Parts: sequence; structure tokens; C-alpha cells
Amino acid sequence: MTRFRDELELIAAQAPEVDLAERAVRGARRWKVATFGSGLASLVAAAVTASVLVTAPGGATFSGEIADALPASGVEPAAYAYYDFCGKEWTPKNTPDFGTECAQWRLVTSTGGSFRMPEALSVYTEQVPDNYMNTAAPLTISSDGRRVAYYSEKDQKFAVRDLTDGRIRLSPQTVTRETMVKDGMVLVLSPDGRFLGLLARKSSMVDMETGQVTEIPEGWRVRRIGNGGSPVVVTDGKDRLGLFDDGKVTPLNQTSSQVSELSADGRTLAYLDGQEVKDHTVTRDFDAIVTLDVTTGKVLSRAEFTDIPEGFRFPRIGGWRSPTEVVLSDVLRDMSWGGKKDGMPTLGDATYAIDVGTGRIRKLDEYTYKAWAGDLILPGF
Amino acid sequence: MDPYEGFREFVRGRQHALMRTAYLLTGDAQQAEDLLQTVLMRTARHWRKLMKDGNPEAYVRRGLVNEHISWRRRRRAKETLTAYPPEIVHGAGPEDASLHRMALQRALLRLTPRQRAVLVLRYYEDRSVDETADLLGCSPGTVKSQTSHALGRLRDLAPELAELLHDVDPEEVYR
Repeated sequence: MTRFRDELELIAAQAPEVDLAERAVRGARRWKVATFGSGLASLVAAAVTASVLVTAPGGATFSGEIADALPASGVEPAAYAYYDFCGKEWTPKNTPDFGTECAQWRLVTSTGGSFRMPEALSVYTEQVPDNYMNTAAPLTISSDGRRVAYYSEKDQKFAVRDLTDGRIRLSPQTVTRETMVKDGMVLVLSPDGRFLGLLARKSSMVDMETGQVTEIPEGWRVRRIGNGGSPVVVTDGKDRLGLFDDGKVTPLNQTSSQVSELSADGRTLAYLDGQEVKDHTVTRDFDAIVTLDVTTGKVLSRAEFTDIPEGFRFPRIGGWRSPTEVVLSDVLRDMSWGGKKDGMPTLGDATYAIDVGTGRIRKLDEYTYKAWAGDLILPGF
Repeated sequence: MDPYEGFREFVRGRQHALMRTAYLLTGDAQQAEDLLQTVLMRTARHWRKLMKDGNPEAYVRRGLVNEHISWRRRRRAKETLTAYPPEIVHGAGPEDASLHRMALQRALLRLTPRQRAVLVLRYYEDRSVDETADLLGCSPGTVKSQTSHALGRLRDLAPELAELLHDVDPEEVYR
């Protein structure tokens, strides 16, 4: 027996040394994302919707690289999307240079795949200096990561693409590229990606399955749409919240520029509170989270932020992560490159979970890319 | 709370021992790494519960064995089976020991995953019949018969290992 075991031990000793701790944790997180999508139906049955996010593995966000085009179907749920001006500096003067593949929107999947989306217009190469805040066409991702909304220049319409089956549904309205470049547009998807909200001077909501368009009354813009197309939360020019139903808006008597997705039961909305703005300047930051029953207009809870992580300052609010937590994001401020000539800033967002009952905030992940400028989109935001 | 608190420390402390078992089970460094990573990913997902239960290593070891067996079809496709048994070399020098080891490695690769797992658990990890049965999810009787079959097959595949396997106490098979 002794010699047999000795030989087995000598064979075992040939095993290479490995360090699998971080790989295993990354894999476990990716699994969470992948299974979230398949379990959506059951989550909808529960009282909340969740948005589980993940940092893609290294190598997915090298600026200037040209990724493969998005396959026709069978794409895993999206973890985020971004464009980075090919890693070059952007000025209004060199805008015409960005009609290239490397400046296209890039989608990073929950399993780390990275694909460009040629069909989605990205940088407006004809943008004029006076309109420098509107540099690219919008893109948004449903909170389950399965559908992506974008502007299709070929069709001059907005499109929602199902990443799994590859089906692309077009909105009925025609919007020219010229209008997009001039006026800009913000897109909102319902958590299941079926309903698309268009936020411009005139706002509307589209059922992408049937093509039915619902116009939002003048002065209001659609902000959040529940699964099944209801309820519809709208805001006015002063960020006052309202509930749109049957062609009318009922004020909710609350104000916020940061409004979460609706929970899957369609009743609960979370929003950030405490911000004060004077003369277009923020004089006080958000410091609390409020939940609201949109069917009754009743405030359910209010909690001031606690355990605020370092670097957390100007949060945006996304979808529900659990029955008690909502996902927030904030821009990363990386000064480590030090302004060196041969350096390049790291851009991106960090995500956080906030407990709506206690206000406790904890950091979840960071999503980064090396570039001078660009934009990053997370599901549900 | 970080859901993976303590997980990284656990992996760093135990991964070399676990990797050795994985290597014996698969006979291939890359497959061993894939196998261990797969099981560790699953462990990470259940880490908080496993920490409460108090014995994550047992979970990992059980996972290694079961995952190894369930990978059978895929691995078999990758394995290169030789049509001839290893060349028989007689002698007692250091080269002879090395050749014995190579012959044993080759013969182990030709066992079924379950037979290989039985030998690794019984003779490398020194587990009893009952412990092995528990890990494999089978009866002690099955472990005994599988052990006997595995040893017999090793003798058939590599007759030059007869002396080595002769050391295995027949009674120990049934311990």
C-alpha cells in the first residue's frame, strides 16, 4: 500500500500551482447575472424586480480596439454598454473623425463578451460646437439586460433589440438624424424591455410588441414605465412627479430628478431626496431615499444615507436589486493618471446598493474604461 | 457585508491541496484547473451558507469528485486512448521508479472516472469505505466492488505495476 500511495502523491505533486480565488469570485458573480435573466419570470411574480450587475473581466474595455459586431442572436444579457471615442481626445473640431467602427457603441455581456453595435448610431460626426452636450445618439438597456434600445440611422427609427433571439422591433415614428443631432433624445425602457419611452420636447411611450404609441400630455415627460405598460411615472420641467393614466396626469406631490424603476408589482417607486438647486447649481446633494406607493401617492418610507462610501457624491438611481435594496450609480473620479501627457484617465461608473429602509449604502462594482471621453450605460438606468 | 468574506482566504489556504486531488482525478493540468475553478465558483455562490455549516472543504471535495464524474463524456472525447499497454520495463533503478509512475499515470487515465475517483479517495486521501461512499453518493458495497475492479483493471492495463499494486493489502480494499 505504501508504495502505491507514494506514487499517487508523486503524481499529485506534478499539479501546477494556481491562484483561483479571484477567478472563482468573478465567475460566481457572472453566474448571478446569467441566471438573473432566466429567472425573470419568477422574479416578476415576486414583489420586486432586481438588477444584478457585474464587472466584466479585464480586457473587455480597451479603448481603440475594434470588437466583433454583435452576433445575429444568442447573445448573453448585457452587463453594460459604452463608447469611448476610440480612446482619442474629443473636441468639436475632430468630431468628423469618429465615423469609425471603433467609435461605435460597444456592448459588454454578463459573461464578458464584447461586441460593437454597427446598427446603433453613436457619435454625431457633424455635431457643432454650440451643441457640445449632445455628442452621441442614446442607447439604453433593460434592467434584465436582455433588450437594448437605440437609434437606427438606417431606418430613421428607434429600435429595441432582443439579444437572445436577435429580433429587432422598430418604433413607428420616423425621426431624422438631423433632428437627433439638433435636439437629442433620452430613451427609457420598462424593466422587461417591452415598452419604450421617448423623452424629448414631446414625450411618448411605445409598445414595441404592438407598435401602439401613447402620447404624454404637453409639459410632462415619461420617466419610468412598469412591466405591462403601467403604471407610467412622469415628471415635469421642475422634476415634479406625476402618474400618467388614461390620457391624464395625476400629480404625486413629490419632486426628484432621480426616480427608480418601479418594483415588479408596479406599486413601489424609490426616489432620491434632499437635493437643492439654485440657479442651475446644486447647493445641496441628495442625502435620503424615499419610497412611494404610486397607486395611492402615499410615502412608505424615508431614510437618510448612512455608511456613505468614499467617492460617493452624485448618485443616479436604477432598478431594484432585492425587496429592500435599489441600485445606485455614480461617476468614478480617477485622478491617478496625474494629467501626464502619455497617460489616459480611467472613466466609468461605480454601482452601489442602498437599503430603502435604513439608507445604508454599500459598494457593489466598478465599470471602467480608459478614454478621454465617452459614455457608459448600465441596465435599468 | 461582502458575500465572499473569508472565501478568498479559504481558497488561498487550500487550493494547492485541492488542485492535487483535481490533478489526480483528471490526469491533466488544464482540466484539473478547470475542474477546480468550476467547483470553487459554485462554492463561492453558496459561501455564506457553507460558512455557517462550518465545513466548506468537504463541500469542495465532494464537488470535485461529482463534477469530475459528470464531466465524463466531455473528457473522454479529449482523452487519447492508446491501443497498446505501456511497455514493460524491468529493473529497480531510479529510472525504473519514474517509468512506473508514468505507467501508473497512463493506466489511471484509462480507468472510468468513477474508478479513478474511488482510488484517489481510498488510497491518496486515505478515506474509509464509508467516507468514500458518502462522497460518491453510493453504497459502501459499491465502493468495495469499484475499488476491486479498479485495482484489477490497473493490473491488466499495466502488468509492470504488479509489484506496486501487490503492496495494496487486499483486506484494505474492504476496510
